[in-house]
Amino acid sequence: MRARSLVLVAAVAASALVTAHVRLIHSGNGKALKWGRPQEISIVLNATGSDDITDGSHLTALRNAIDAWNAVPNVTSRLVENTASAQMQRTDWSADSIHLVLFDEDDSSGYFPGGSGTVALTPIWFAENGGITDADILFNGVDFEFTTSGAPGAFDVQDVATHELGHLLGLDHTGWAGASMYPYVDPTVVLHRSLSSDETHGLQDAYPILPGASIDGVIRRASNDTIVAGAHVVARDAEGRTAASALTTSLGAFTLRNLDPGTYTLYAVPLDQPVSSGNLTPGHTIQTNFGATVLGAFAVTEGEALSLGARQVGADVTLSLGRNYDVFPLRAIAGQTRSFQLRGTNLAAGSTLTASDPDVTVVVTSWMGTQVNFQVTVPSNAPIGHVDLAVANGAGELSILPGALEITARDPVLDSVEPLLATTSGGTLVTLHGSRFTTGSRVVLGGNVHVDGEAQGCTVVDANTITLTTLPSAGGLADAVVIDASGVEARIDDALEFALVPAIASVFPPSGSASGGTQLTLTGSDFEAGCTVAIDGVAQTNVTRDSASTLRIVTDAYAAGGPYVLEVQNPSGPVASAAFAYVAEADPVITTIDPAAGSASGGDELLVHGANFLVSTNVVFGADADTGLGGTPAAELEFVDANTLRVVTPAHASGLHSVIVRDDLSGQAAVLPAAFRFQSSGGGGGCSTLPTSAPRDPRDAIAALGWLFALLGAFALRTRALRRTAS
Amino acid sequence: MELGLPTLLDTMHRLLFLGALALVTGFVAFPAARAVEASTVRKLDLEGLVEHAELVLEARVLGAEPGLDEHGRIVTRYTLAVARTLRGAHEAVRTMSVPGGVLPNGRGLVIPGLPVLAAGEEALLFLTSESRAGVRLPVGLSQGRLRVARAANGAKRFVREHGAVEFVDAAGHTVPAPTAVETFDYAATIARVEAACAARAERERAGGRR
Repeated sequence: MRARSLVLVAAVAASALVTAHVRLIHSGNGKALKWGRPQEISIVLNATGSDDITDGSHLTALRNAIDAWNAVPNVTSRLVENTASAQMQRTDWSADSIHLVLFDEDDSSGYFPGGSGTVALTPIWFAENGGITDADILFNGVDFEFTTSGAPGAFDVQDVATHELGHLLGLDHTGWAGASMYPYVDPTVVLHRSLSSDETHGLQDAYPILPGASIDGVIRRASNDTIVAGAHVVARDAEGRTAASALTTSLGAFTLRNLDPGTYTLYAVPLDQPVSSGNLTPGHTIQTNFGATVLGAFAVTEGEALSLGARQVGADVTLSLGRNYDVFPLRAIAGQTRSFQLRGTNLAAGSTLTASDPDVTVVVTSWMGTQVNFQVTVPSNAPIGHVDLAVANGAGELSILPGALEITARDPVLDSVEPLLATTSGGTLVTLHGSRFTTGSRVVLGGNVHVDGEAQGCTVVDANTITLTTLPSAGGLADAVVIDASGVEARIDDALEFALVPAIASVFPPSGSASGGTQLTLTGSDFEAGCTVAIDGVAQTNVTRDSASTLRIVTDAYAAGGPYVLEVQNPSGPVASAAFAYVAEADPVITTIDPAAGSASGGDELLVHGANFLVSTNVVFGADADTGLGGTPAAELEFVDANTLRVVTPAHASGLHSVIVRDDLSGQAAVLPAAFRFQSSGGGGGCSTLPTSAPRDPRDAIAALGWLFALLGAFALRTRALRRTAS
Repeated sequence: MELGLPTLLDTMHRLLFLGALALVTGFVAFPAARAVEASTVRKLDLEGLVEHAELVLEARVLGAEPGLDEHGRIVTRYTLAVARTLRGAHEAVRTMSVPGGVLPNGRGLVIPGLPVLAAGEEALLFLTSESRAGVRLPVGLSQGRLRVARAANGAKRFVREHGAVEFVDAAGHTVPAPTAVETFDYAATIARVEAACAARAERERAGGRR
């Protein structure tokens, strides 16, 4: 016979508080605890992390946990990480001004004396109105080890953090065995990383935006019509998946909120095993002297508030399934059969054990009185989620374990990552090859999290391919981790190295004189201070690093030929390659442009003075002085001699621009940056400067047109004499 | 033996004090039986509780007073009338501080998972050493408190609100739990705890001699 009611604080229970999920409440007045300004709940992750994790990966694990809560739809709450370096160095977790996640390695908090058995905890400060004023998460680094890479015997940081963040947001433990807020954890567990719909509903209850459908009612004992306080009322959807839950108030009332439209089977179970009142904060009245009872199936439409009135539950029974020393959740994998055992009472032959999802098959292999051994088979196409287990016996007794099974896909497999080297500044396109990649997966790489479909995230191309573009990362080897929606992962340790990898975007000019002295400009990225440049393996002696994206070289003499391999090597080792050719001829040289200004509309004649000009030399205005790209060729060009070119300017945007002479046959070129100014015509009287609102004197306009035509006529006469054919 | 319902008076008496207390929870390490090899996960049966406890005592809670500690954190100071001390130095009356509680102004601190003792409650407590913050916690949080419940005839049993409990017969042997709620035979439990405490003390003495 089950012990009777477990009363914690009945005074507050007289209030009519109705809780969906299980909310933390003020033990003095029963008000649910929640943040007053949930739109931006600041979180600081202590940078030091755990003694057990030396690569800083605790940060990505914690960020994944934060993401899980921030991904809940239809809520006003949002955890916002404060990444200010000074904040991340803080350890004064108890200060009101910071909400800190901290690994306490020496019991500096005073909350982890030896033997406490607590893996992590979340002290929450609150005011009389239930408003949370401060909350912090402390990991017990004194007694326990933590991991982000599945180290045996250590607790998974993301798994534990997901649970504790639920407390920080105002949620209590739940009786849903497979939920993240289930109160017990084991080093082997990672499935708490993913939220169940119980947590989703709990957060939507605390911080709602749009109320969904709801079902309310009152639970009474069939035997004497008395109300049942603290009954665990659970809704199961039409597919047999655990969908939502609530505790009844001291008045026996429950409300299941934020339900999607659909049909739900409701049942009530006593909160006695494996989660009981001892796992909840004070303020809840929990009565367990009744038996698990199916209340019926009920349909709700969009936004409907369905009131069931009183629903009766049966008498207490001795049949019971699940103990807190069972390890939950029981992971059932799509397409596989797995064996499990659960403890309980009166688990005797003749009983039946079933899963709430009719597509999930349960076969009992042995009934042992206090234990049942069984196999679960899940179809390969089963969606992920939670499924109840129920045991019934010939005496009509029933025990239901909400959300005991967690259906997941098979573990993803990560075979390879390419390339093996990525630059620390980000922007490297990376492809992950493997199998069983699923939509909604996330990739952890180099301290960054890439979520499928999100900006700066990743793309699950298909079950075998994920692509992403790296973000700025610290240097060094990085694990590649693919985590699917249920929290299971595939990993390659040290899969990729982040280093400052130079990249060459352009070499200008692409050729230079074999006698050396060519003013060569390399553009690209991540040219590290101290980098070297070699052409055909010969180090160049005159290299200047303007910036991480620009190198200037005055070439050394070398044998004509090529193209040769041009390499830029950073001091840390990575190399970028391009090509450069030496030619026998001397490089062209520009000394002056005469005149150095002309009209933006073009047509001005000028002379380019210099040396080593050829008949094949071209002149370009406004090209990029570092790359030679862009610009506008001269409208007309006449080779006067090796030192002089006569040019008619093209139309060009106004401003000061470069002039480049280059030989397209040899690739040699010379640049005179900011050498020629294109000026707006008419001395500022261009169209753009004309007022549009005030009419001008028409005589002025006629005069201006006259000048314009006179100028154009004069230019036409002069340029005709200069024009030469393109051939 | 079946437990009776708490009387209304008992309940109301409890409420007066409990209303001033806050509860505290964390994530409790609780091992599966198959995970005993994992040193970070403790099998908190009675012997496990003794193994990790610095202080094991049976006591009645005389009072519970929330207040601020020297760091400005809310703690609840319990005054205990100690009936027997199974491990640690015996003191007839002990005080101890546990994190959490609600101040008279309504401000509070809660650590989800940490149990709250009710004034008037009798319990067998497995307590940690005192931390540098001057607080003790029940070992394994809620697992470290076994409440004493009295049947109508005055007979004692131990009760824990959740199910990490083994039922023992008069000889201290584990028996299947007859119901989902855990009750422990009083005498057998005390005997088992005393035996575990003695065994630990002997090990510690032997270690000291070496």
